[in-house]
This record gives sequence, C-alpha cells and structure tokens, in this order.
Amino acid sequence: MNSARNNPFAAQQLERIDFRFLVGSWHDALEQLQRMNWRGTVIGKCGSGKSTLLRQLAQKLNREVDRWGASHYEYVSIDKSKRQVQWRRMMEAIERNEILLLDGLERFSWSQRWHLIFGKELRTAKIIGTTHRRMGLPVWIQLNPDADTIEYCLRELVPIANDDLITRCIELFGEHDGNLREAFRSLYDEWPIWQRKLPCPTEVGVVAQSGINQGDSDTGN
Amino acid sequence: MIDVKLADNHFQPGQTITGKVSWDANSIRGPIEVRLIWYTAGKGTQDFEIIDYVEIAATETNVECDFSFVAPPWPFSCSGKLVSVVWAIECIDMATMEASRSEIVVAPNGTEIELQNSNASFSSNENRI
Repeated sequence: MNSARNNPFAAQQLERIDFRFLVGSWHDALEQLQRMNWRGTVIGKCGSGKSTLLRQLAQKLNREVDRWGASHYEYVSIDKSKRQVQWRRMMEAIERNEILLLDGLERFSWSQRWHLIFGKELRTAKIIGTTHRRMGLPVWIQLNPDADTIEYCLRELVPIANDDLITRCIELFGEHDGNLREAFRSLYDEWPIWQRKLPCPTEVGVVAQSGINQGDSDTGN
Repeated sequence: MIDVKLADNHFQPGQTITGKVSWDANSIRGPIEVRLIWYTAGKGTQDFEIIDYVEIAATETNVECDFSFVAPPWPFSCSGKLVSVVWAIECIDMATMEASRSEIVVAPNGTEIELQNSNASFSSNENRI
C-alpha cells in the first residue's frame, strides 16, 4: 500500500534533508554569523529552504553550545495574528541578550520591522531572520536552488532516483516558479506511479531539506 | 547516543507500554525526556502531540532507565494515501536536543488501520445493502 508514512515526499521527510552549503560548511557559516555579530538574514523565494535552514541553525546552536556560546535563543515563526504577543516575547528575549531566530520577517508590521532593523535600542540585538527580499539587515545566506541542489535533495529523499525522476522534478520546479517545496508536493501525488517505474522497490530514505548557499558575495557586515 | 528498546511495538488502547532507554554518558548531558507522542505524516502540515512524558536525570553513573506509559484510547494508528497517524516513543537529550524515536502501533488488536482498506470494506458493505 502507498501509505502517507512511506511516501518519501511527505512533509516530515522534507524537513529532514540536511542543509548543504555550496561553499564551506556549517562551521564556516556559523563563524560568519559570529563575525556578523549574529545579525543577518536568509533570503530566498517561497519553498527555497529558508525556514528549514533556520530550524537547522537552531539545532546547531543547541548541539554546539560550548563552541558558539549561543545556547540561548528564541525561535519565532512570525504569525500576523499573534505578532503583538510575539513582539513582546521577542523584546524580553533581547533583554536577556538571546539570539532571535525569526521566521518570516515580512510578516511583522512596517513599524515593527523598522524598529527591529534601524531602531536605536535594537541596533545591536542579535537577529537572524528569513525574508523574501533584502530589508536592511546584512545578508547571511541567499538561497537560490539550482539543478544540482534539486538533484541532491531528490537523492536524499529517494536514493534510487533515476534521470527521469530528476528531470521531472526540475520540470515541476519550473512549473512552480522556483518553489522546490511545491515541486516535491507534486511528486508526493505522483509517487505511486514513480514507485513502479524506478528500478527496484525502495524504502523511504531518512532525509531532509533544501537550500543552498550562494551568499558569499552578498554577505554584508 | 540514545537508544530505546521496547518490550513490544503493538498495543491496544489501555495496555501498558514498557521499555528501556539507555544512553552514552560521554555524549549525553541530559536531562532526558522520554515522551509518548503521536504525529501525522503526509502531504500537509504536521500535527504533533505529546501525550505523556517522564524526565530522567542523566548522570555519569545513571546510563539507563525503565519507563512505562498507558496506551491512550485514541487516535488509532492508521495510514492512508494522504495522511498517517503514527505513535512513537521519543527520547530527547534536553541539553542538546539529540533524539531517538521508536514507532509503535496503538489500535484495536494492535494492528494499524489501513484507511484505503477501511473505505473498500465500507463501500462493499454499502453495496450489499
């Protein structure tokens, strides 16, 4: 039976794809953040892996407490309907000198964003946020998945992926205007067909997420 | 590294789930939280609920611990094309968030319900009527 739990394109499988950097490693990326005084943005289109990267950053900070001295952080997935409450929670975290990991900076109001980025009292606050476009904070990483990234993610999800499946994924990526998550959601529906076409029966690979670091030249300080 | 060993993986609601969690004292700082959870797996956003948990102190001398939970009445373990409901015992080192998860089945007769088959049998019964 093609059950949801065994579908390699299920949402929870996508979340497990290890983030791959085009240049350098997690260690390099964290060193860069440290040099940026933990103040920067992850920029990319919808479905490019921004939220995943931020969640994996939180895990890294958790696991490598001693190395980065950054164990205390507040992860907030910004919700328009709760942003006043979230704002208060964030201010408390800033007072405790914690790092704020903010998913969806553009969901804050204009004035909240202005305070966060340019406000005198928050100018030194440690903020790492995801956004679709530049908004005044230095760019830590810019995500722009390409064919290599798609193939990497696909093979993480389906280790026996053949050229036809890779081609189909790239095609869906284009159809969804560069939204890799949506391309994988389409493959979720197509999986029963692909399962029959692939060379041998497969078990779902334990996996993860998307994203790519093309931000070296864009990184500001 | 955290390791979970269960006496059994299939349970009916109300039955006791017993097991043992062990860990490597060199890499685990603890405390360790052992959780009875269920979550959805599938195309959409994931639902997740912690039904019960126990917290265990991880010290140099304490490297394993028994635990037990009572299998709740619902939701049943089930699986279809769009969504699955999966039960699991999850052990997390709260200091590092390193985790280990062992899936279990909680359902009548201890057998996961196949949603496709359920629909099929319902339809065929309906046809008979």
